[in-house]
Amino acid sequence: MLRSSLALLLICLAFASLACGPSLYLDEGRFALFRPDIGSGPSLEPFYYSERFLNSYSPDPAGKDYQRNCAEWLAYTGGKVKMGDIYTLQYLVDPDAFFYACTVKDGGSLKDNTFFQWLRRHKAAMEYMTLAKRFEFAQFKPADPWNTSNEDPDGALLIEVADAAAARCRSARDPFLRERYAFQAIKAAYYIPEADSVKWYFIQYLAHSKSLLKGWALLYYGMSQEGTARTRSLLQSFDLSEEKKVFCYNHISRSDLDSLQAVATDKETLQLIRIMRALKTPGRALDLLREIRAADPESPYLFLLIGREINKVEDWLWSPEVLQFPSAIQENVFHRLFPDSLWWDGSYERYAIKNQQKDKQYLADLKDFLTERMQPREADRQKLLLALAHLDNIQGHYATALMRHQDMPPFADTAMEIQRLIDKSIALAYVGDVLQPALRQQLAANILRLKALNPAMDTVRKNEDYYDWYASEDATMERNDDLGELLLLLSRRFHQKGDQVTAGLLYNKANLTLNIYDGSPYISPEGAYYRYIAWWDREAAPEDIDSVLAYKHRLPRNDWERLIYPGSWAGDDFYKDLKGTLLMRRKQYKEALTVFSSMDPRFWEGFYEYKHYLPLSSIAWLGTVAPWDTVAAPRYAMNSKRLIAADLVMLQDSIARERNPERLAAYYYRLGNAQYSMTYYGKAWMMMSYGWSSREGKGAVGSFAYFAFYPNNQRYGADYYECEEAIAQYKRVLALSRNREKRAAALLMLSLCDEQAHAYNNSGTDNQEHFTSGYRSQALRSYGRTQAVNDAQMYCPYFN
Amino acid sequence: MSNTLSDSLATSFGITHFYVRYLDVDWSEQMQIPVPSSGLGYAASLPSAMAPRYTPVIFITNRVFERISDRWCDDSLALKLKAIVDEKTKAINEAYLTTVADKVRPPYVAGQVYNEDSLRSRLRDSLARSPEEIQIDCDWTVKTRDRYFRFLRSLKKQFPGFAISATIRLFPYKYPGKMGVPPVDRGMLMCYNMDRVDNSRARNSVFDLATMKQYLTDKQYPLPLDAALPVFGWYAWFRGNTLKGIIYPAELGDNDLRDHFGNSGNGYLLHEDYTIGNHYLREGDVLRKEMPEPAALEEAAQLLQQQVKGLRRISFFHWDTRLLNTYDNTIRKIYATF
Repeated sequence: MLRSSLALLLICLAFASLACGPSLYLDEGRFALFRPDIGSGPSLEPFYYSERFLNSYSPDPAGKDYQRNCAEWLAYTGGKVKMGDIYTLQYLVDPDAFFYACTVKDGGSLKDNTFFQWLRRHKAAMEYMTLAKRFEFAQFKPADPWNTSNEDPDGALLIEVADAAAARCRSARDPFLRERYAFQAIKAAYYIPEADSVKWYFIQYLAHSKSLLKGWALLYYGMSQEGTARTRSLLQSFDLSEEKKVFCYNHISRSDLDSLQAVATDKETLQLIRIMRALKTPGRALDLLREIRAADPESPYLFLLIGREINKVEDWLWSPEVLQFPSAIQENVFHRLFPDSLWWDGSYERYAIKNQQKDKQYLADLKDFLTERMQPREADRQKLLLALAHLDNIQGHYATALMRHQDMPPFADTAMEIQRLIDKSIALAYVGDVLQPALRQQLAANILRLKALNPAMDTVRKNEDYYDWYASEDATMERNDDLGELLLLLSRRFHQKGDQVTAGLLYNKANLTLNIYDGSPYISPEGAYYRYIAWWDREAAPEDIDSVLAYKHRLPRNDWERLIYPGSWAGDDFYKDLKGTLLMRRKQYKEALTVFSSMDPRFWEGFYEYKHYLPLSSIAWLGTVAPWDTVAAPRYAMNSKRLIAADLVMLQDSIARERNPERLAAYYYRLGNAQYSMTYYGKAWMMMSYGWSSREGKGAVGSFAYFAFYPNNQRYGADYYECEEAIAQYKRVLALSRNREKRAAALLMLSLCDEQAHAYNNSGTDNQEHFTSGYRSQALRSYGRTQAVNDAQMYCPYFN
Repeated sequence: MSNTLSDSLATSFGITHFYVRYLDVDWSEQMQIPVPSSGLGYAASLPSAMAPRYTPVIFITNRVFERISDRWCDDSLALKLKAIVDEKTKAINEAYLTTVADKVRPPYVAGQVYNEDSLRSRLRDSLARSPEEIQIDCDWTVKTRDRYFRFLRSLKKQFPGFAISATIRLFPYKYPGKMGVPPVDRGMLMCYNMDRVDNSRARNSVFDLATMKQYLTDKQYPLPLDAALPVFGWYAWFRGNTLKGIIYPAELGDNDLRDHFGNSGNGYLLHEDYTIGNHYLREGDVLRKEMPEPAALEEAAQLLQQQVKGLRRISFFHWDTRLLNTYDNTIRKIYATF
């Protein structure tokens, strides 16, 4: 191979191509119940705290700059046109429509637009607007993703417009229009680019302007400069305009701020540096907030920054606790069980706890900071009270939160009122007795009011069957899921107080993604939807399911019941199947059979995944797992938990009746087989669990993406993974039987269970070397000449 | 083309062929068609050493072939790609032309007429044959295999004078019966990204020699092959067992690892809460270093030479002058092997 044929790949890295499989949308795993728009309003929305780092790319979401521009035009016209018409013509009419209207005698579609008609009577202003629209046309062409010429605006047209703007700027006598021509010239020169022109026109015409255009032009002026001058201009543009904030933010790096700070002496610049730094801080920024407040207690950015710190604290403390996304302490069950299993420090838990303590301290510091500011204007005082009450709730100081809310009146401001209702509801639920109808009714009233204030919350909740709504381009949905997050907190409270029906219904109603397996988000046509029963599968006792069914068949009687009543239910048999399965896990086979017998006998044939995972051959017969059992296994007439449970009950009854030790041993052997079949390794695992995955293990914790049998693995793991009950039956065989074949078969099954339990107990660790059970050695040593051992050696790959 | 550092590196290594990512294609749920998602931004930013001999590479997400309609699969996608490849190739060649013309143009002499058009025309002729191959990069699955292969056939029709190559991951290399063999002229065996980066127990998800050995077989793959080894890496950022993100070496300050982390096996354990770029790392977080070991790369190259019959090129992914310096000796040693 010749050297000349060597190659070097030039391909950029694509992170997305590395990690396939389920993933969360940004902010989907973040728990945030504090409204960042309190105080700062929607115009600063891009800078709300978010996993996206920059919350959105919407320039000026509140449209403040556009309104200011329209107001300037309105003043210029002497108030002779409608403000709305200025807005329409400036921002809603595309250039083609505008040019067409200019060619039509009566103005065509703009004939009723007072601003357009005014322009027609004022030639100089019309000439300016025409140029502005031509510029707009040159910048934005119809979007065709395959048209690569989209990458560049129409260069020739831009140059033409730039030249025209510059010429008219120099010749215009009207200062209002001259500033606007100057702005167009600056903007065009930036795109062409002609940096010198930018500087000249800015300094000449806009540097001392009071117009909104100064803030916009500062961006282009700044971008034409280098070093600290550039950073300074961009910071000023950030401050003076709304629409250019995101661009400026994106074009100022932390090192730019360092450089400017080293030379800046004026307090305005230093304050803007602090603000920008705080906005760029994903971690704790309280020290910066202190400096910002000290420099200007009325800073318009202060409430935004306070909201960001509160959202951070929520993320650090509530997301792990409520949604169970890292850094959950629960995450480290695995580490606790296998402290030596990973290549790095095996105990992450202590860091999680330490970080949690630090975050709690930070929360306390934040409260102190807010308390120090409790003397400002009344409007701000209420906002601070809301913030403090919310922090109380995060701390679990519900009574204090409730006390702060006692004198708080309903607010006219939507964001503040939503916040009030959320925090009051949390405090009420955790201070009072949620089992009392009066309190439930109070919660219902608050929730109904929340829905009325933000109908989007309700839209999300109604769409219970599909929760893929985080895929929006900004974090709007994070705020629209506030009701879901509130319901989730209420669900936890009802669970704590023992009302599992309400807790489960609230959980389903919340419809959020937790780091725990709730099944596919897509509903199957026949309603075989694990999400219907997932919460109760994890948390309920068999008798709770009766209450769920009773609730289902009782029409809601009041607001609270109407609120938590699901939009759709699974069929009764799905809940009954869950009850029976819960009983099976508890080895209450007879009770389970009673439940299964009350169901449609064919239920398991056409619903969920039963048909694929419930065996048709008797679970007391193990087939190729135990080739020494040469008798053909009896077959069930259909896939049915009822038939399997009946098989078990029959074995239990036979054991209860039988007195002959050998026959009793044979029954115990069959019972052991049946119980082995219902383990993770057996053919009837679905008698115990609603899912199976290779990721299951002793330390497996919840995962939103993969089935893990969590937390049932911690309750029933001994039987399900370590075959404890099956092992007990095989040991009874050894105790009862003198028959060498029976004893050999029991030993062989014991060795299989033992080795599988060992593998399970060491899964995920480095201790995975081959393990040979003592039972196997005993079988070979003492029963090597039996048919059972011969068959095992002949047919069982695991045995050799 | 002004990237003199890249040019001097290319000359220093004696590299004569480059694979240049032209664009990525992903599926647009909104438009229900495949769309270009990102790609080569500005042709003139390519080092001039790359222009004479290079292969355009187009990455297409597997999702495209899960959703693509028959019409786009058999016709439209290849047509659109043809237009873009032609356009980008022209832009690269023209930019290269300008660079070369600047070098060979005789000095200006007052009063002497110089024919610039003639010079450019001659240079353009000399570039007419480049590129000669188009490479498609797609991590196809059994489910998308048929549609992907149909697309490759339609692409071949659009580029009749070109060789079409496809990237082959290790799994389809080992199991051609199950995964199928793309209907192309040759394959590029991709020897990296061997584990899930979110697997907290993986030692190195980018490159692991032991994993690679499991996939290499003596059986001859039905296509002539090139092979690609990684000269890139990053730090996989874990909190407990959960991947929090990727930290690229360029995001780390010079002393970040020394001042804020301690060594912990294959990773770095953070001693205090710390911000890296836009990431807020917490005490106890771990950065798992995922840079291929030079010795492992050298052994991998030897293995490839021994086991992949008829290997034409060994390639390195990807072009990053900082990382190339890190792997300088390794790359030279491997070149020497071949």
